[in-house]
Amino acid sequence: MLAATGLTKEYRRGGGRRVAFNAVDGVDLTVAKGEIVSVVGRSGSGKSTLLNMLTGLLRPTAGAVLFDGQDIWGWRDAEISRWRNTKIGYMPQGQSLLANLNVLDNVRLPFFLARRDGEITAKALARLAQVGIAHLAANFPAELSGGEARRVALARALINAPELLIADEPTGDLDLATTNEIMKLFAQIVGDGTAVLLVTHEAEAVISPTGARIYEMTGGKLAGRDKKVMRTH
Amino acid sequence: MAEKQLTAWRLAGENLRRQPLRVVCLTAVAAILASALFGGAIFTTGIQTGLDVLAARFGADLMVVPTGNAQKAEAVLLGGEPNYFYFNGEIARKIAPTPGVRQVSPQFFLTSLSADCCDLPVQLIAFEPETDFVVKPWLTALPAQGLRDGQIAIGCDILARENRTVKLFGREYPVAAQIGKTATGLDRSVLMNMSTIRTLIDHAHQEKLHFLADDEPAGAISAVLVRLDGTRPPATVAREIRRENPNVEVVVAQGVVQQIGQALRRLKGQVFAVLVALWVVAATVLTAVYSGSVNERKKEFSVLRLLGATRAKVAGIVLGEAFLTASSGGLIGVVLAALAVFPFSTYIGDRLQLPYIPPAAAYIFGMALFSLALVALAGLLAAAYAAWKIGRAETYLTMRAGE
Repeated sequence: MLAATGLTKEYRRGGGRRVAFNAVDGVDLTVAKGEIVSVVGRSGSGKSTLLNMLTGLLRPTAGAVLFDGQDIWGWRDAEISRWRNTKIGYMPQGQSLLANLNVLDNVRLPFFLARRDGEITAKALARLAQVGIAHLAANFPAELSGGEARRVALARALINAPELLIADEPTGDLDLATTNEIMKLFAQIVGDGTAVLLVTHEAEAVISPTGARIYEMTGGKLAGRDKKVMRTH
Repeated sequence: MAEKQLTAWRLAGENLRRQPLRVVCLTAVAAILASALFGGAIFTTGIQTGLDVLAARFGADLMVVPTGNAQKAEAVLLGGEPNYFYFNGEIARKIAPTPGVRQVSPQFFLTSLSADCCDLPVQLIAFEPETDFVVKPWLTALPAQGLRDGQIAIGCDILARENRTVKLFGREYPVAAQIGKTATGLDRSVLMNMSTIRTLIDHAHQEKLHFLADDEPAGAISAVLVRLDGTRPPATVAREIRRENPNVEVVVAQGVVQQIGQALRRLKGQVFAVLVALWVVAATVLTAVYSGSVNERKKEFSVLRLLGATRAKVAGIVLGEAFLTASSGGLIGVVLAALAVFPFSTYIGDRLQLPYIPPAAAYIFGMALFSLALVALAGLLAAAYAAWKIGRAETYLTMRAGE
């Protein structure tokens, strides 16, 4: 479904004689339908840069990102935005809810960002129920705990029934119990047929969902760990 | 029931609702700009209209008055300040043969110290129906014979009693006509023929009231209004009248209108300068506020992009917020300006010694719409840079910058 080949992002830094370096260096990565893939790596290893190139948010210096065989970087902004809105569910790093909208509207928001027919409120309430926070629908983000806010972000990422859910450090600042609950939700989502691509800290690797194919990222390069997490949460 | 849509407008509205201080500041800037635009335009147009009416209705090319009374005559004419001054009525006969003079008509001024029609003293003006060419054009509603003996015509600021009379020096006089707004002293004047004013003075004497005019010989007048035949320039004829009649001064109508025209141009220049300065300040403030606001909200806009909003949609939200604040501020500004200009415009015109006639309703409405559109456009232009900036930014970088 999603395939990255030779994906590279070059930056320059330093004073007068700016030095080039590759934040992501020739990465090949595939995510198949219904699969869960976890990319682990330390802070600064290039995993967020990789994720943003994979989702059409950051233009690569070299390489291609193919979705169902089509290079997304050959699309115009309207097409890439539409693709991100319909095929991808994105959970950004940290607090990402819109403070001016209540929980229900935050979840409904992606539905209205592209032209669509139909109703969404009932589906949004069902998604909130799925992640266990239907009772918070009328609350505003400032009134939520970190775990609750992350569940809202997950419900929002799933609202348009994406084919691929991408989560950037989804449990980075959560306690272990809440992390386990979020990971169970990911496992459940994969069970429903949605592919999941997780990017996590090294420390989070141990809590990747059951069955995840794990890649390790170091210095912009990606290496398969050649193992799957078999533990049951 | 249809569910509530999350349109770009609603997102903009929700953002504004949760940012009251920012909204109040932006709205206030837009309101100040709109009120200055609308108020300035209505006021200067009102004065321009007043000047046009004055020029059209001045009637006479020259006004001959006793020496030392030219300014008083202008005050009677423009400001409606009641005044009186007299000289021998023979002067009209002497002026008539002056080359370039086509017609002369005497007028007699009297001031009522109090009248039940008005809070302030009013100017009484008597004219000679046989020679008059100045008053008649204002009295178009009257039958061909004009004002009859005992009747009066009143300026638009004079209130008649319910029985269409005005009480002067203890007697009621029937009102035959009321003159439309002229933005001159005529608005606060009472007009009658020479016969009526003589009757009025007799009645006043019976009431034991006396006037300065009582000491003047019979047939005294206050001014001679002169119409020229166009063969000689007004200034030349005025010079000749002064030379032939040493005890008179001559007010040249064209000069008065030109003088007011210059004052109006100065006023317009000042209003325009203030408007330009306000525009620059408002545009700078709005641009700074929108840029600052967008910088503060980088993460919010990045999240929208992550969720699938196009660059155009994000820019639309920024512009929508700008439009909402600018147009609501503009509306408040127009209403405030209307509340300030309409009730006090005549007073302000008086203070500035400029004639003021409110513009037509259609012009006011059009100007209100134009001011609103201009302020909304200013808001949109000020936000356009911020919208463009956030639209072009790499989402990944703005997301990181917003953290």
